Amino acid sequence: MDWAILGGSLAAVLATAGLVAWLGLGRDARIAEDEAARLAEDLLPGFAAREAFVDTAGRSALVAGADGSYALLRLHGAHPVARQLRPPLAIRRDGAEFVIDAGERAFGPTAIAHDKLLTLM
Amino acid sequence: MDLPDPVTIAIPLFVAFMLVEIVAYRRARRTDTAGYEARDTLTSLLLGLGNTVTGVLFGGMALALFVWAGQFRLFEIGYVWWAWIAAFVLDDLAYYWVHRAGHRIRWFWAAHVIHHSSQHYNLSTALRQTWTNAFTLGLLFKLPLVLIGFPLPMLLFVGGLNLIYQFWIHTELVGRMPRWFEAVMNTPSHHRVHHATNPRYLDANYAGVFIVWDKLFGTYVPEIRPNEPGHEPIRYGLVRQLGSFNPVWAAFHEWIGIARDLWSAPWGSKLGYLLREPGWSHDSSRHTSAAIRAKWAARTAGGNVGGIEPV
Repeated sequence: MDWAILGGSLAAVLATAGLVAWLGLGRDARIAEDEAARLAEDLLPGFAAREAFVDTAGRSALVAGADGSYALLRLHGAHPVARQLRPPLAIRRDGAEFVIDAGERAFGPTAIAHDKLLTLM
Repeated sequence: MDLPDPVTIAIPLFVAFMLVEIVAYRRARRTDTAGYEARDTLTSLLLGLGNTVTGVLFGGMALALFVWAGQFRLFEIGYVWWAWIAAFVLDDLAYYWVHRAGHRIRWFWAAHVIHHSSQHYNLSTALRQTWTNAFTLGLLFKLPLVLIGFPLPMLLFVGGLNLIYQFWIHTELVGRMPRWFEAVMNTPSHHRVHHATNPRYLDANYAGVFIVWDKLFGTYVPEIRPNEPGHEPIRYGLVRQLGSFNPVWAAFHEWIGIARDLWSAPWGSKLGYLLREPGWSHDSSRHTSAAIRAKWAARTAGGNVGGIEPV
């Protein structure tokens, strides 16, 4: 293995990703209020949405399902990811936001700013 | 015959085309969900770099097996012109089957899932390659070519050409190619279907270079373009999106999932978590692609496709 080539390749990788960041690609993504329910149904097989609570900044959303479960959505880079959660939710208040834990370390906690989430605590 | 590694030679071209695609998205002012995102790009390229390292570390095992198997070859095929063409076509046929196995057998999927773990579809996604191929039996699909008698350097060379061809089809910037080309060759349109998680597109278009294999073996699904009836935006990535930019997690998460399932499953079901299709579970608590398609078909037939008002 040629360490110089490996080092050069790593530098090229970092430079390319840096260029993408500098150009701002993918930075304007958000979850729109009128698409959270559809996103939850698209991302979670069999999930039927009933009511959507969308973060005021469009970073995340909690969608209540017809079967009593919830879809937790958050932006992962420029695209949403979702996990289906069963009640009771691991939800806590942190200032103006609510933080929901999906119980999965790689997924991480998800912050949602939405007044009506108070009713779920 | 001493042949160069075509993939190594092509790397500067990979970088150049990727930069062109990045600039094209910027010039089109596409800074939303389309195109590139910095952390996704970094993960893809780090996985690509890692693939070259693991290739050096573990590639020798495959090579040793092929050299050993070569002593049992049926014919002594030299470097004649027709052998190059035959090797390229048969290598692509072998690729179709190893790729299909990579999607239909969870053990193989554990290695291939890396390539599908980006929610973007761009030229950097093409470089998001596995670290763990050596731990599957995928190379056995190419063993018949050695046993037929094609020279090993020739097989390595045409295999490299196959990989190079597949680079350019990982883009959303090319719509459809001319009809005759789409009929025979794998194209961006065909391969977008392969990377889609929309139920209608799951488990389709396994081709490397020639899409005719999918048409021959019943796995071909055409893309519905934006100007065609029934179009829906393609969602790329995994049915259960990863939700992490950690390249190590991307490389090993499915292996860890298999290990957990093998540990916790009832004895009679353990092998199913290794050899059945991804999403299979002994208690049907998970979703296979067939189950997802069935739910989608029921949902669209019932007219319940969202439209819930936000609160």
